[in-house]
Amino acid sequence: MTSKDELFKSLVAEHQEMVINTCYRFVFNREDAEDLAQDVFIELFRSLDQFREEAKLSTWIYRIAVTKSLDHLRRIKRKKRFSSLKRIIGVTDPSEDIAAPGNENPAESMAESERSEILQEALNSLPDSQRAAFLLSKQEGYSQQEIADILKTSVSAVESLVHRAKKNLHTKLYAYYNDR
Amino acid sequence: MPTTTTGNLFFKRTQVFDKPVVSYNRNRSEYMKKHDEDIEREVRRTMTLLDEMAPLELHHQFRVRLMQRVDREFGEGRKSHFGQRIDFRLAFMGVLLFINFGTAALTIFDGGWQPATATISELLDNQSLDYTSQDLAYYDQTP
Repeated sequence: MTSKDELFKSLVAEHQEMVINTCYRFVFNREDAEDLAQDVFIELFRSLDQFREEAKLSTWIYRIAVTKSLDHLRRIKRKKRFSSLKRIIGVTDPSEDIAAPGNENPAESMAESERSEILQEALNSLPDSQRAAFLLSKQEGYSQQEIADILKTSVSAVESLVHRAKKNLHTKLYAYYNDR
Repeated sequence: MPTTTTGNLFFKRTQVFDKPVVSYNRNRSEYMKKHDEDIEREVRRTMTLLDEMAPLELHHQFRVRLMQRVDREFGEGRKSHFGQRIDFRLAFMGVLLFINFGTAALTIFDGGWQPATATISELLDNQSLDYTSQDLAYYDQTP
């Protein structure tokens, strides 16, 4: 086993939980979060030789996690736009009609699932910088300085982004529930 | 206060109409306040979902799958023969170069694979003759 392999394994062991939970905050889905976390570590392995130590290694890893998560959400958005176009022209995807797995309390789980979808929609409408700052601030384990390093900005800018994100989220959710 | 019949009636009429209007406005503002409170409650409940999200526990197979993927993508690649690795960007560049050279070759060489250098020099000579000819003169050279 080479020294690169040893280093890689130790990095995975040290950061896997944070990486997967960071991705989970963005995508709200376990399978997608695990796939994204794998992509993050693959990218890490690929680029480990090129790491120039301009930032901490952990900052770099979490920056990759945030970038991959945002890219994934953009892909999903494009897919949704395309599938709504398919629906308009009469071409539907049968996999979209598969029912969700059963639950002991279907009414409750459906309400929570609906609320989660509403929150996701509101989050996806935010600009990337606001969304990233807000979601990272909600996750335990990130200080304001670490979030600023990940987003390559200052602490005051992070605070401003989080404040604007909260305000925008509140506005969007208020409008949604008011129109219902 | 006017004491004429009309004035009193007017006063009484407004008194009669004031009460339902005032009570309607009061009821409406209470309704709106409750409506706003309900919406605010829903918004707060939705926003606290993020705080209530339990951290994900790692699947026990996560690291195994990851290392298998690393071996698949990088393990065999390291040992492979240079000629076996096809980078599509290099291939695309090769195609473009081939098209460029092929087009240049078709332009320069005629059907018999004779370089058309003679044709090019004739063209150049004709070009110089043309420029000095009377047709392209700016002024009339005839005396």
